[in-house]
Amino acid sequence: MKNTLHILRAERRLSQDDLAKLVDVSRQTINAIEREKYDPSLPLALKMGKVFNKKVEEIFFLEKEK
Amino acid sequence: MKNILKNFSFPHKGKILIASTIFLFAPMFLLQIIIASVGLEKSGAITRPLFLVSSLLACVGFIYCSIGYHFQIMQGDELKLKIHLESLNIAFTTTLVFLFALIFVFLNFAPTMLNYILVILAVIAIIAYVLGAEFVKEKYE
Repeated sequence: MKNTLHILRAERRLSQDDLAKLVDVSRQTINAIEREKYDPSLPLALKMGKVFNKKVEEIFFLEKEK
Repeated sequence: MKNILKNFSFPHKGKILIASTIFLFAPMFLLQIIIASVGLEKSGAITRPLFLVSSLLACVGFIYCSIGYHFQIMQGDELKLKIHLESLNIAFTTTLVFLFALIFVFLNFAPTMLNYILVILAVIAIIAYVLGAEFVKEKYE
């Protein structure tokens, strides 16, 4: 699964640590998601959608969809 | 009960883990001292309750820590939970493979070693979990 997390984070000038604190996970989790090594759970994806004020499918999408 | 466990944070897990380990191994060292001071024949009366109490305390301590760490991981970071679950999977599979292999080897070549199979498997499971966690961590780094 692909994501635009690093772009959204850069747009809002948030560090991985800042985002981690906002969604209540570790910085390592954010790093693993950004590097597409780990797919987040649905609650975490929804929390991220809320932080960036975007729909989940705008942040996370399957490779074919792009 | 579920709410009590959810709100209880299982404090002092690290200290209790160390204390439990000491309670588990202390009798082995104390045994030598007791035998040396009162003699082998009379030592039974002292060592039996000593072993009972210390192993009971160690057992209760280890159970407390197991439940405490379980809830800590369940309520914590989701990547850490995934690493924990995958490591448990590796540890379980490894232990199962070793169980069958050791039963075959011990039954045919060293039947008396069957007495120690649980201890051997426990050590294998702990080593497999630790190595598995390192292996799984690398996957997500």
